[in-house]
Amino acid sequence: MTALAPAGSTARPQRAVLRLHRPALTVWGAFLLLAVGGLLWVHLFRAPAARHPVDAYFALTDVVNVMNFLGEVLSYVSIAVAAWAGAALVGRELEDGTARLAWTQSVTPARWLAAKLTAAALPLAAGSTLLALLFHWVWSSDNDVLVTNWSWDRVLVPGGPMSVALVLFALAVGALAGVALGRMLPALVAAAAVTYAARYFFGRKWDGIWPTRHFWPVQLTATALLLALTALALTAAFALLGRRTDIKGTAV
Amino acid sequence: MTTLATPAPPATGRRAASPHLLRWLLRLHRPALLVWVVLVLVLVLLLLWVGGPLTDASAEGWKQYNACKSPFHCTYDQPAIGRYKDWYNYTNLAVLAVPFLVAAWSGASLIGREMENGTAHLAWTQSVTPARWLAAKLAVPAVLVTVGSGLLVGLHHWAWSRGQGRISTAEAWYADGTYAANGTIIVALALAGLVSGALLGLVKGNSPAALFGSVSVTGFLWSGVTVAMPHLWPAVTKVSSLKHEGALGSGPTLSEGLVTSTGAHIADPLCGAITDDGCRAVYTKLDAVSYYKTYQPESHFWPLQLSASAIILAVTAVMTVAAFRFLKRETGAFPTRKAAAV
Repeated sequence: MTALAPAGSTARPQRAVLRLHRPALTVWGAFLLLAVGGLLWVHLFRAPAARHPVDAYFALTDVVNVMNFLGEVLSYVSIAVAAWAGAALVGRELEDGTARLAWTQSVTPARWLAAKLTAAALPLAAGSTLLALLFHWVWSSDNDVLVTNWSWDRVLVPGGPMSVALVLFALAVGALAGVALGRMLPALVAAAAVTYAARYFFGRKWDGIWPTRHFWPVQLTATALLLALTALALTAAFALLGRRTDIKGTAV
Repeated sequence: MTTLATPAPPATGRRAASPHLLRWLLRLHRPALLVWVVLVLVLVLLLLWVGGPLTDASAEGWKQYNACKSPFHCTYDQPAIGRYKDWYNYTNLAVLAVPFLVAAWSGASLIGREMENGTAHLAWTQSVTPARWLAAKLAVPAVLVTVGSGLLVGLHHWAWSRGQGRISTAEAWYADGTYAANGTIIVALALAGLVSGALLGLVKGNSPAALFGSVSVTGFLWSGVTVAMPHLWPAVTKVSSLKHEGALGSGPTLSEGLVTSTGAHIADPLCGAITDDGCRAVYTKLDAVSYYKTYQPESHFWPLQLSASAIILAVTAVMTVAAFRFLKRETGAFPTRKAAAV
């Protein structure tokens, strides 16, 4: 409890956030390892095996099935991020009052939220960028053995910058839902539902809106739009937090 | 807080507390109760719609399609077929999501909040023992969850069965999602989700660990019974003639292949019917006399469902006992509170 003394607490809230959410960081790291391992396995072993078939067809190792499964899982990562951000990152501390305690420790509510968001955004953005690059590379270099099409949502969503934007959008929506609802479960449900709707719209419907359909225009416009929505959600979250905490009293 | 001082009369007090406890529980969780009732009602209406008008329209579309002379110049109600397929999948997913919703709510709201903000401890001083408090917290939602999910499962089964034999693309009885949502597995899983959420809420308090933990326990149980599904009841071995293209019998399959003249089971080279001369040579060389398939026929649906549900409920019972023992150990450590509570 010595950290309660003001001298110690001017330090970095980011580091405290990382320590608090170490289990989540571990899960994210393990997931990244598994996904990278799966994609490399497809590229280094399953795709060459499909070009020179020696072993019999087996549904669980068939390159098309494995790639479809990886694409499907990676395209839904944003929902899990939204659920976690709404429930664990923001909703929980507002619910049980530790947020209010933190705000008395020379951390303003805005800095508290900013610290949480940056500490979460960095590993999420870095990890999902890595996955998007790797997925796109494996998908395009093994296209000869994959039964696939770029416009399918399990290719379009994980295979470009849209996946990074979707994850950041999920984080922002989770923060907004957490601040607005102030409780774990409602924040989780609301954030996951909104993110699912965004993933559905940009994964399935967005490419249909375009008269001439190409991968990059669809990807980049969806990314830009999602980032704009992210900025909007963040602004709303900070504005709402500012109004909720009424600044002068407890926060400073 | 004056009630703290008055010692409740033991026998009558307990009986009198019973309806009181129920009313307090329902009031505390009124938003959740409301969400549950609305969810069940909406899904009931959707399932009635899918099983009634949507199924009939799709079956009519398939009748038109099957009456076509040529598949290229054929008018049939394609949107009706697609609409049935979509809404069947949506409602199926919604029914499958029920145990996870119950688990998430139970882990986040049922126990943990009251343990953390102290109202649980307050309740234990009000002539409600910790054990009775937990029993009420589990029993009331368990009844509501069983009734609601049982109703949904029954209607899902009805809606599914209305399409059998009439819609060519209707799901088979053993398709993963359909199989689970058509029987008691979903009800048992919902109860497992409820109890795992309560147990984790007691141990971990109001935390994301309890929320995500109980959802994970539910998912783990579901994957377990899904993987084990073909092994949960003695399978049937069906022997069929080589005149067919392959082994007869449809259902979750444990093994299939050829039977030789000595009765041995060997792998099927997947050649096809013996009426083909090339295949006849292959089967003669292998000394094969018939196909065999060891599988679960549709008549095993209920035995399979009930044994999977029994496994889930056994795990649920263990978790219930663990929750009561944990609570007893926790509250037993404070003799004063125990004395006040009894």
